[in-house]
Amino acid sequence: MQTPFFFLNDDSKLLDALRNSDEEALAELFRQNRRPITSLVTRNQGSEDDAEDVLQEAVVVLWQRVRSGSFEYQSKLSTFIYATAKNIWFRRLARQRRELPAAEETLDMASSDANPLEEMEENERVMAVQKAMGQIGNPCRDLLLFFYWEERSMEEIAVKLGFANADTVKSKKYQCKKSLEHLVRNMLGGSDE
Amino acid sequence: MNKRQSKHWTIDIENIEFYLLHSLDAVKEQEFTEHLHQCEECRLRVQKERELIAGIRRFGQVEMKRRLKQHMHREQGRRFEWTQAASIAAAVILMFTAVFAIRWFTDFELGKTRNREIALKKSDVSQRSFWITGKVISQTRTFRGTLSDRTSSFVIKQGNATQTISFKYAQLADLPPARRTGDDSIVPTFFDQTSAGLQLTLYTSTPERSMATGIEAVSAESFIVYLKGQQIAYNIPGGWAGKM
Repeated sequence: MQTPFFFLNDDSKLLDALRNSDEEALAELFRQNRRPITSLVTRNQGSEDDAEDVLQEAVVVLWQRVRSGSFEYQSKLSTFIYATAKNIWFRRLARQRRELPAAEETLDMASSDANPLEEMEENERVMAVQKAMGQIGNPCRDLLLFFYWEERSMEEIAVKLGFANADTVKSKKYQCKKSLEHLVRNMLGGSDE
Repeated sequence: MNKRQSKHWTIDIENIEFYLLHSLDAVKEQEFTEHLHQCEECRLRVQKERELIAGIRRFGQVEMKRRLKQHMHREQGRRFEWTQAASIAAAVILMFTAVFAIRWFTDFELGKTRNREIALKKSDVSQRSFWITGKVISQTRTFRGTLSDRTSSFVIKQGNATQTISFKYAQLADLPPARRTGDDSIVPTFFDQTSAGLQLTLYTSTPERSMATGIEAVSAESFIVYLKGQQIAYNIPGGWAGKM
């Protein structure tokens, strides 16, 4: 019989599970941190739905940091999640107060030196890519997500998606990016080169 | 512009990708940055690639949040079903308990036995107490369990969870009639979960000489109690770990 998951609830095991892209670890983190985050958000003008959304986002941020190798274990995972959730929620509140349009949290890839108009245009193009990802079929969608979002190696992706080797993945990735760019151009009303 | 800076790094799309994913070494990254200052076309290419990667990541982030949300809602649904099932199970147990209690007190009134107080007091017949059957096994195992302290109680640790287990001993004659087997290799045992921990009452022919010296969890569903000169194996359907 498999050991119940609740016995594997210390941070090191959760971090290992996150490194292995085990989404059950995300769910466990969600369960563990639900109460304090709900309390934080509802005490600060938010609803329980807001709290759930913020917690999901904080957990995903942790996952991304762990996967990319940029996470440093300096405090308990619950402390990291609390601080991240607090940051996300207060940024959202500030944005609402300034009555700015609701946009996704700034991603680390976005350029920081753009003026507001350029920023809006950039955001529009990023959203078009996001939308195009919803339209592109598999294996392109999985391949692009594995490489750019989960930051897996070509070898790992080859095994995951059943490609012969890393070179095959590389050439397929090139084709997939071209298809994605084509979809984005169509969405933005541009013409193919 | 020097020779190195004039080189069109961005003709190779991989170079842009390495630059944006911070995979270039420090020297190359510096050269690339310097080159971008000189090359408008290259800056546009980098910006296009940056937006593409940001869009893919944003899609990944939203998808992961969606999956996590689904997972939690499924779990809540399952928990709800489980709660309903538990309510039904509790009702069934209550019904059987009532039947058991009626039979027990009827026996008591008839004077068939007057020595069942231990079991009755211990049982406090609820979901948290039940009978289990131990089997005497041969003494060939190497002990890998937890030893008792002087009070005949044990503290078992499993991950962050700890569980205190204590023992009591009673005469076979104190057993309810339905629990009597006449088989010496069987040790009827009352398993009771109290606020202080688990309490096991072992019914043996020699309770005055019985003393648990160790306990060993063998698997998620079974454990062994070590007595002086005897080892008793127990199996808990549904899982020992889960009960803890």
